[in-house]
Amino acid sequence: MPLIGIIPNPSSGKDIRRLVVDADGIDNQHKAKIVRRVLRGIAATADVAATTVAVMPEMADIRRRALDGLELPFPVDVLDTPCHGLAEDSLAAARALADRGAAAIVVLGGDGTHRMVAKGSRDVPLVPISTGTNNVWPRRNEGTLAGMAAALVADVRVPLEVACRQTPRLDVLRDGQPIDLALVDVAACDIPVPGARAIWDVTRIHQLVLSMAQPGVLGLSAIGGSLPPPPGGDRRGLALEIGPGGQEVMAPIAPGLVVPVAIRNVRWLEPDETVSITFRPGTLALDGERETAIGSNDDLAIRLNKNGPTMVDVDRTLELAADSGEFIMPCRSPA
Amino acid sequence: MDLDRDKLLWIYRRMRQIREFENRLHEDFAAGLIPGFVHLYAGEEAIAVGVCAHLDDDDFITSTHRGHGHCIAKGVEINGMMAEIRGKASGCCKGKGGSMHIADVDRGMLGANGIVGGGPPLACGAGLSGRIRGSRQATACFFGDGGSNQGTTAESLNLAAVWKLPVVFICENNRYAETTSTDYSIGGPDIAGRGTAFGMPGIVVDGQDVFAVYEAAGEAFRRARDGEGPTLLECQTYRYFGHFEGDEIKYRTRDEEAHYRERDCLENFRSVVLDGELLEAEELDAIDREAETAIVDAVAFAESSPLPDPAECLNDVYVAY
Repeated sequence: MPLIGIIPNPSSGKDIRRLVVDADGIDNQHKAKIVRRVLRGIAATADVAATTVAVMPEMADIRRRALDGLELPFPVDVLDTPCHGLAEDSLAAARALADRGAAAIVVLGGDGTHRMVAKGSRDVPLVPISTGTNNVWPRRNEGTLAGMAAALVADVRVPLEVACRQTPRLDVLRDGQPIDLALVDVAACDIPVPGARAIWDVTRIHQLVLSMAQPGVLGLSAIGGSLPPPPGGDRRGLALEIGPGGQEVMAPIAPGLVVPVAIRNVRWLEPDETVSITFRPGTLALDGERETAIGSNDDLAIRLNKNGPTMVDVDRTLELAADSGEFIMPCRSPA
Repeated sequence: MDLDRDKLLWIYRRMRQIREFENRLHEDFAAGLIPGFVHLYAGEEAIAVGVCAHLDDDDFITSTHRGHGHCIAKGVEINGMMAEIRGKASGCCKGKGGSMHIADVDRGMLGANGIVGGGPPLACGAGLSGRIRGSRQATACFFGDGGSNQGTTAESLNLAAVWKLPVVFICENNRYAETTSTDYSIGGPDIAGRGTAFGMPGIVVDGQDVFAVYEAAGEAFRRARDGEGPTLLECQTYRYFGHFEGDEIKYRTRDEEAHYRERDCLENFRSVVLDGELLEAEELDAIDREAETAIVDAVAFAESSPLPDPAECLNDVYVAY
């Protein structure tokens, strides 16, 4: 019986960047509407007699608001996981869904949320819906379509090796042992405490490691995305030393904030290559959020790992389904 | 964000003073030593201190029925506060106000307030006064999740946005309006989101983390002083004690309480500054002892002070009898 998880982060899209840059506020009523559309998309597409949906419990009770007056042909359970209003709630929910053999997890959040989910989801395909501030990893997927894609993947009605793709990640190593991970970027900065977590002042960043450096995204990875690709054109991982003494690029690092960034050194990374964090003291920011202190004696390094979380490509999934006649009425009933 | 040693020590000292003050009141109320009601702020210290760390004496704050933390963070003398709560003539309102009416205009503390949602209109007035006089004074307006649902608060948010007043609205969302959970009392899922509806940025802040509050409040006050208008900060927090002393707290679970105590703002401060090699443990220990002594001294001061003279009863009131 396919299980589809939904993890809506009630805290995404509400941080200090509404004060310091031109970020939108994304309220939870909006997220409840998205979840409602996800559920409708699942209901219209899935083998409903066999489907179960489970939602992460959270303070804003987005599940209850999404279900208000909605009759669905499958149960929408609440996971029995912690509901403390912390980022760790998303991690616990992802872990529980993976333990229960979930076939797909729909995630509402930004890079930070998807990072927490990826820490617990193992190889469960993630259907990302961007409701964060910087959304490099999660795409701007519409809820209805994301729900349809989740159902198609859960029922294996599309070839998963084409509909899904494995993304890279960055492992954070202390004394050579993995202690954490990031999906997109790791920054060593001289801000002394995690505090409000976000980073919007690039002059405070001294080292930056990226798992991907694509143009057309917003966030610290845009700094790498503003550089020409290496010979061969393969935009893989990247390690940058930030500061004067080299070239300068213009990069969109936050909503409405396009700034010059001085780059002292550029090093393209191969899978499994490791970068030592030499800057100290300060804090290490993972996917744009200051997380941990860098002590004067800490031995920290970042490793590019090609075996990151699996992402469902919603557009590709729907295209594959259409190509194989999945939407011809009456809809083909899965075996 | 940068924090020098003096500021870090100030933050810890004020948070520790509030905790000691409230813990002592908790004991003294149970012993029958406190006249009237008290509503204790323990658990929420990071908010008052993280906000008031950006304010001078000539900036203003408006407070709530749970106002001791706001007072201490704004610099109101602890001896005068303790005497006021004991109803003594040496209290900062001559012993006539008690816990819910502590005020100290010289410190810009415009009063604790027994009326839920009573502070926001006052904050708009204070903000307007600064605007008219062309000063760079800012006003911090504290209210709770219960206060967020009052009409006075909605009117004030609107007025502050219309006039771009230099007011920072700080909603201390401790999840319970008296005994009513926000699950039952908040129509839309967000208090912060109401800021956008009224035309100002609204953000969610971890109210258990003084650094998060300090950084967010710093940007909000910068906006206020630079004429960019008001900001709404929803600081998510928890009160350790009941709504009032004597509350049996039947409306929340012990597990929930234990979870928040695990995220104690003082312990969080310690771990951040020690991990970040910003302060030494011995410095923090010394502040702990200093705060304990200060509260013992405040109680002794209050106990040794006289009660107000009944002949003073009708003085210092707005209406002459």
